[in-house]
Amino acid sequence: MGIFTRRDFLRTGCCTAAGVAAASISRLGLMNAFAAGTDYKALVCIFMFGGNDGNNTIVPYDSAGYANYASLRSLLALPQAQLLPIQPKSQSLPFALHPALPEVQSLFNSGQLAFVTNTGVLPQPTNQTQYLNNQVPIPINLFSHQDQQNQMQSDTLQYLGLPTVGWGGLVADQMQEIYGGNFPITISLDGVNVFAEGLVAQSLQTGGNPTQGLSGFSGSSADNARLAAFQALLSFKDGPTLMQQAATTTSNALQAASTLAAALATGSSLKIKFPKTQLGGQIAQVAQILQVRSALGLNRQIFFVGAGGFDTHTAQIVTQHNLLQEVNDSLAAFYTALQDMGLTQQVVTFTLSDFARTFEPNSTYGSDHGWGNHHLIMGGPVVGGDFYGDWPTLALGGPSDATQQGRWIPTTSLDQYGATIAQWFGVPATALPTIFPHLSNFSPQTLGFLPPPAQSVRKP
Amino acid sequence: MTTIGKNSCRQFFSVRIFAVATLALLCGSISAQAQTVSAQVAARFLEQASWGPTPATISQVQASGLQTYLQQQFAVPASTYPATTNFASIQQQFFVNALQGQDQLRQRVSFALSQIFVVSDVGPNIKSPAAFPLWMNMLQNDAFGNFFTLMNDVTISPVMGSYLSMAENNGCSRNCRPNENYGRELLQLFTIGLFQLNPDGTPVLDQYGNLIPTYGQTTIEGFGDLFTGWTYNNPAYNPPHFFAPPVYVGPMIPVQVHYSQASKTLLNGYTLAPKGNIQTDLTSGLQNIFTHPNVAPFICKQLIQKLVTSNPSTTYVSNCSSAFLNDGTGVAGNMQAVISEILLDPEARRGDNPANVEPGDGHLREPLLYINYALRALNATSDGNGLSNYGNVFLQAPFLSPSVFNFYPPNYPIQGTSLVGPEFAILNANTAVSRVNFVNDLVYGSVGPATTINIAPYVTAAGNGVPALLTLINTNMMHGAMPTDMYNELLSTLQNSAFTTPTSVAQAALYLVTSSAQFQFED
Repeated sequence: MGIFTRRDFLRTGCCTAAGVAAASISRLGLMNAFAAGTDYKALVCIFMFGGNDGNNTIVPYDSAGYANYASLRSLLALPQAQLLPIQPKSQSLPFALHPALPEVQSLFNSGQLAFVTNTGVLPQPTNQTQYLNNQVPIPINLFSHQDQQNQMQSDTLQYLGLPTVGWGGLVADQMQEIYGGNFPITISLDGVNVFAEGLVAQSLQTGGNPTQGLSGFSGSSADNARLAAFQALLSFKDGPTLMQQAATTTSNALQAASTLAAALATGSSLKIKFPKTQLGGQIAQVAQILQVRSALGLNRQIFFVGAGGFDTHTAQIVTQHNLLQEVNDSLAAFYTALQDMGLTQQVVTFTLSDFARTFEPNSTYGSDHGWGNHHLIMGGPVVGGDFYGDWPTLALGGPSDATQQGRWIPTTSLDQYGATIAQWFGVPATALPTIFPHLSNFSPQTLGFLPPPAQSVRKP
Repeated sequence: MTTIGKNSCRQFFSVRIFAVATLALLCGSISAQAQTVSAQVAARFLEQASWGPTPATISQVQASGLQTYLQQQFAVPASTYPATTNFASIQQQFFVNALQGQDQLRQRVSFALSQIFVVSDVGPNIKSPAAFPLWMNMLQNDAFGNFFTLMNDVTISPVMGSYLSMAENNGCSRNCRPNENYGRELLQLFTIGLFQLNPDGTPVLDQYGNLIPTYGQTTIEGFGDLFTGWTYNNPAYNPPHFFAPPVYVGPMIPVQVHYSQASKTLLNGYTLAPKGNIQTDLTSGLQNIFTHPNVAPFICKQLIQKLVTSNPSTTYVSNCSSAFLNDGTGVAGNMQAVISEILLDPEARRGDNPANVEPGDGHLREPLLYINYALRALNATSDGNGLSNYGNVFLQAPFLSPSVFNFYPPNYPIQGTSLVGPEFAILNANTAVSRVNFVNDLVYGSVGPATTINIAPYVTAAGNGVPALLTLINTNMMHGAMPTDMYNELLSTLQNSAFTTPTSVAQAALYLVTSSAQFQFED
């Protein structure tokens, strides 16, 4: 089984099969660089597709703040008595979480969960005057779902065609160079997503049953002949480019499924019950794969999972409640599974979404597309119980508003958010600006909700 | 005009603005040379213009020629969707129509349109499955009419009204704000897209090399205000009643008192005066969109991608845009002119000679096309039951788009190339294997309780030897363009004595071909 590299000519000398093993051992000083347990970390990215309404995810809880919120959000305002209070350490005023987030509240209060507030795609610090007067570059197609999903996943904010590389994939490229490995570092359980695409390291983008192999081959001589022909047909390198792409995708898929199936066979079924929802099912798969990480022989893994339906233009109160309940229950189950596996200090889970939503409701009991949003990070290493970043001024047309309807201009960039995560994960400081191209425009470059790694791993 | 080669004649005149009808006159109707349409050309044409060729339709195209076949298809009435609230049966009807319907081209075109004007049962917005027969019957009815009519019928459809919350969007003025959802997606996804386009589909760039947006937030709010005051035509309420329960029986109706009284700034500075009439304003607003130069290339490129190739040249898009803007009689938006151009364009016909296929040509068959094409290739009869399950697994089931952005985006890029491959956005490691396993079920098992295939012709051919079998498969399923390496591999494999009966030989051949990338890909 060879190393999965996407484009051979981009590999440096360190990343041939022998080179990686030797380099890893010499750099890390460990006899068995592939033993999980000593230097293993994983990231789990939960993407809430459609644009989660952060304005009802975190709500001011002091009486003046709540009164202002309730007045402006009117038919979207959540009753104060239903909210779940939190006291972020760095904030003087109290806040509260959406009623559907009790386990998130509890993890926040016990210090395993933090929020980054008013974050989003942003090329450089931008105030309202600069935005309204077109004095600074802004991300392309700010309120378009497809573009914002791509931008949150790739941090490419200006482009002619859609991005083909994501920051998850670029982080994986760095990990591939340091640790090597014989299986894709990045796995999307939610199908094709640009987050997982790197330049060098191949990713596994799958869904449904990721161990599915070919059906209908019994080992008879006729079936063996047929199987051999099937594989031969996939190997032919003629025909249009996209046809070859389909063939390559299919071959790679079968190879990955087979390896994953063998690895999962070494594990046991999870004791924890996960919600029977799209997100719950995908996060359960992550937990299953984490359980057999030593069989995959990787020191670093990145997972991408997704939940849909957050585009609440109508009926927001009921819809968002159900969606956040799914997120809450999935996070709770996952954290319990991590505790069972002794991985809480090694796995960090974080959310992304297209954008936030208008603070002002529309006339169909919903909200429209916004910008700066609040996101959570969960894990043992998280310096939790706090907010990182600034809290927007909740005033329509006020200083935080890009428009008149409460679309907050982010005060923390995706670059800072992602760089903090990537740094903890082990990406060298010199590589961070290539993954997060706007990082040098911001200060501080990392936000502090995760510490840098205890020992730095240097490239040769 | 028999001294001028057909293709070069069409090419010569195609770079100037001529309607298809005039082209036919100048270059000699292709039907006049019907006897020269080979079975291979007919089969490949039918891969683009139907859910898949059959021996009967191949003969029909050979007899009439491509252009006359199109004219015939324009006249065939739509296979309808019977009114029902049973969602599963509506999904099944999709497959039944695909297998049995004579209106193959209409179905292909309306399926393509359904992926531009998207509605879906995913999510809570559509309140009854009854919406979907109404929707599809409208799309199919309008597929060969005028694009403006289609825009209007989509806009006032109660189905779209539910899906993108245009229904009962209230033109309120104090302490609330009309919903922007339909206006935004109508512009971004259904008509003009986000950036100014040249007629050839390339983006217009400013002096710094930047893309030029087609609209800003003010225009979105203008359309948000325009699309107010419409409600469901619920027969239980006379006069019409805002916030009456949704019904899906006919177009929405206007309620002037709920229409926004504000002025509305639309595209390119066009403004509707305050206190306008809801119906005349709607028509003016839709005209404002329809006359935007983006509509032609935006719609043309996507229709080409669905029918022919993911990466059309600028010439191809430009030819189609010309047909969109003027059908030869001065009319814009004539779908028949557009479809004819798309299917008769030299670039569509280039691959009729396999030696002329270029590396960037073709498209991966999307799941529902792949399912229908495979079923038709194996002479299937079906009541449609069970087939949507495969659609679900392949991430494309009828009426279940995950969002208004369709099952996949039209500009999904393939890393390492300059190409887009939209259908690859749903070809992940799982769906790729699932497609192959579908073929296992189809050939060796069952894909539905009332779906049967008939491979007797292939068994008979296998009885005459593997070359005869491969020739028949090549003719019926690959328009005679099976690559040599594929042929040789199949030949040597199928002559293995382990295959002891003609049936086992035929089944193995059909499995290998139907599951292959060569078959899944249309070039």
